Amino acid sequence: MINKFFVYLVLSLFGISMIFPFLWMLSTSLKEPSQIFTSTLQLWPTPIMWSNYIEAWHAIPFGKFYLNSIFVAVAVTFGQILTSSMAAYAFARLKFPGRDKLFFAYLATMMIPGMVTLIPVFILLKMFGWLDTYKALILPGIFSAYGTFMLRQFFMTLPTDLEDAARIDGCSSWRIYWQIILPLSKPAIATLATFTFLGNWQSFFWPLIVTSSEHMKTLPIGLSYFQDIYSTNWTLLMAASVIVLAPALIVFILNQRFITQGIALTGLKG
Amino acid sequence: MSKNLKICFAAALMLSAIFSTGCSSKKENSAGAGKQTEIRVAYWGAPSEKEIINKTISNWGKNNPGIKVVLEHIPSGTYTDKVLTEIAGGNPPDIIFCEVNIFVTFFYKNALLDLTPFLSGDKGFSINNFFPEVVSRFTRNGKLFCIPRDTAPFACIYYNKDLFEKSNVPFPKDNWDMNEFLATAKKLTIDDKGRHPGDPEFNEKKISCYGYWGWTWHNFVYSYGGKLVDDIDDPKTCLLDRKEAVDGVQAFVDLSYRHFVSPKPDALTNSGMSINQLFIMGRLAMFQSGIWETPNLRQLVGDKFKWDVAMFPKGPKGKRGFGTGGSGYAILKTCKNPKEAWEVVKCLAGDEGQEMLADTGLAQPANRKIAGGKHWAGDLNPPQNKKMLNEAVKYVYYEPFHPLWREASDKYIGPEMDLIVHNTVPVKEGLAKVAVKVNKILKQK
Repeated sequence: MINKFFVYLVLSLFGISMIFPFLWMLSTSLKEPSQIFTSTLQLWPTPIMWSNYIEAWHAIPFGKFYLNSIFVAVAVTFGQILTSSMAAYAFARLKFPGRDKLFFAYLATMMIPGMVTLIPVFILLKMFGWLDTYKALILPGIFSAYGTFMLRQFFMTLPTDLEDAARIDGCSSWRIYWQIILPLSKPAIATLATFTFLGNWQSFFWPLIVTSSEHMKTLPIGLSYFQDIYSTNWTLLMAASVIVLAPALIVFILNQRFITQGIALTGLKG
Repeated sequence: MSKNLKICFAAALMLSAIFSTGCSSKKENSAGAGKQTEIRVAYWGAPSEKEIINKTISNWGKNNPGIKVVLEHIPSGTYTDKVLTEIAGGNPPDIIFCEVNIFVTFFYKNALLDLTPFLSGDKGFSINNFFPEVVSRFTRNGKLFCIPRDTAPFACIYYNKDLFEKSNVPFPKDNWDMNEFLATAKKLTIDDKGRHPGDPEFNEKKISCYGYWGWTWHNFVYSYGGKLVDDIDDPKTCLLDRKEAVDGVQAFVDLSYRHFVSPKPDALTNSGMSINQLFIMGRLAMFQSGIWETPNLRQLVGDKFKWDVAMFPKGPKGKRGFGTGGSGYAILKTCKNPKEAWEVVKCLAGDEGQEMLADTGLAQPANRKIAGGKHWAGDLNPPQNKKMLNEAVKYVYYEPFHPLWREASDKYIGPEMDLIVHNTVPVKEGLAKVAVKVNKILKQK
C-alpha cells in the first residue's frame, strides 16, 4: 500500500514536470505581452486574452498553411502505408532470389543521414520541375525503409497457415496481401500511420527548402514567422503553437497505445 | 474491416488525383503570363518589414510591367541554409537580401555579382548618396557587391527620462565620456532602501533599479583603443589579448561585479525578465542596443514614460567605436537577367522603401539624404535624438572579413566570453586563450 503510494507520487511528479511546459504554453498564449516576464510565477493569466488567437490567426495565412499541412501529412501517410506494406509483404512472404540481400540493402539506407541526400534530391526535383509543388512536399516522403522494416517484422509474426489455406483455395498473392495480411495488420499500420503523420506534421526543413511561394508553405514554416532576428512576439507565437499543436495532440491521444506498441515492436523510436 | 481500408486507399487515390490536376492548371497559368522577365528575391524580415517591401515592389511594378518580381520570404533563422541549398541545387534566387556578416559568407562562396559596371552605366543612381562606411563594407578590391539599405550601429543608449528626472540627474549628452557615464549609472542604481553603489551599507543583492545594461562588450574594447584583429579587411592576428582590449573588457565586467550598476548575468536569468521588460517596468534606467528596439518600445512603453537615445560614451582617451549591423541587396552571379535584377535592386534599396522603414523606427537609412531628412533626423517620434546615429556611423567597426570568422566567434570567443562575464575566468587569462585559438583559425583560409 505504502509502496504503491510512493510509486504514484514519483510518477505524478514526473507527469507534472512533463505537462508543465504545455500548461505554460497555454497560459502564455492567453496573456498580455506585459505579463509574460514577471518576477513571480503566474500560471493563470488575468485578463484572459482570447484575442491573441484571433490576432495570431490573421498574422499569417493560417488557413492555407493548415490545409497544406493536413493535405501533405495525410497524403504522405497514405502513400507511405501503401508502399511500405507492399514492399514489406514482398520481403516477408514472397520468395525470389536476392530477397534478403535487397532487404538489408534497403534497410542500410536508414543509416544515411537526411542532410546527405538533401541536395541530390533537391536537384532531382528541380530536373522534374517539381519544386514549389505538392509533389515535392509529398512524393519524396512516401518511401520509407523504416516503415517497410516495421511492417515486415509484423507480417513475419502472422501465421503462414492462413496464407497456405488461401493459396489452396486458389487465392493470388495480391489478394492474400489485400484481403488477409492487411486486415490482420491493423495495429501495425495504425502505428506506422501515427508516426508518419506526426513526423510530417512537424517537418520544417524539407518544406522550407522545396517551397518558395507563400501558398505552398506549411504550418511549421508559418510558426517561424513569429520569430524574428531581433524580437519574438511570445504571446502570438504561443497562441499559434497551440493552434498548430492541436491536431497532433489529438492524433497522439487517439493512437497512444499504437505508439507504445510500435516502439515495443521494433525497438526503435519513430 | 477490409472495406475501411479500401475506402482509405480510394481516398488516397482521389487525393493524388486532386493534386495532380492542381499542378497542371498552375502550369497553364504561368505559361499564359507572357513575356515578363521573372526576378526572384530572397529576403527575411518581421511582418511590418515584409509589408513595406511588398508595398514598395507593387508600387514599382505599376511602372515596370516587363518585370515580374517574385518575393520569397524566408524565416531569418534558416535564411542562409535555405539560400545556400538553393544555390547548390541549381535553383538560386536572382537577388538576395544580405546582412553585413551573411555578406561575408556569400562573398567567399563566390556567389555574388560585381555591381560596379552597373554603377558607372547608370546615371540615375549614385552610390555617393550612401554612407561611405557602409558602402566600404560591401566593397572588395574596388568592386561593389551589395547595395546597402540600412545601417545599424550598436551605439544607442536608450534611457528612461522620467527616472533621470526623479533622481535629479541631467540627461546624457552625446559627447559624454566613460567617467560621466559611470557616475550617471551609479546615481540611477538604487537598492531597496534608496541607497546607491558606493554608499555605506549599499545592498547589491537587493537592487530595485539598475543604472545600465548592455550586451556588447565590443564597444568597450573599441572605446578603450583596442581591436578584435589587426586588419578588419584582411585579418591575420587577433588582438584581443592586448592591453587595450583587456582594459575594455575589464571595464565591461566591472559594471556588474565592481560597480554593481549592471545586473549580473545570473541575476538577470533569475529575474526571468528580458532587458526590454526591465526597462519598460522602470527597473532599468539605461540600456545599450541598436535602433531596432524602437518599434517594440514605441508599442510597449506607450505613455508610461518619456524616453530617448544618447550615443555610447567616449573612451578614457576620447576614442569612440561601436560594432554595427546593417543590410543590403546583392545579385547572384547565376542570375540570367542581371539588367532587370539591377532595376529591382535599385527599387528595393531605393528611397521609398528606406523612407517607410525609417518611419517605423526599425532601421536607419543607408542613404545619407534620407537619414538627414524628415523621415529620420527630423522625425519627432521617439527617440527624438536618433539623428545622432548619422554621426555614430563614422565610428563603426565591422566584424573581421574572414570566411571562418563566424566559426571563430561561435566556437571560441562566445563560450570564453561567457565565462568571463560570469566572472569565473579572469579577463586577461580568458582573452589570452581566445587569442591563441582565434589566431589558429585565422591562418586557415
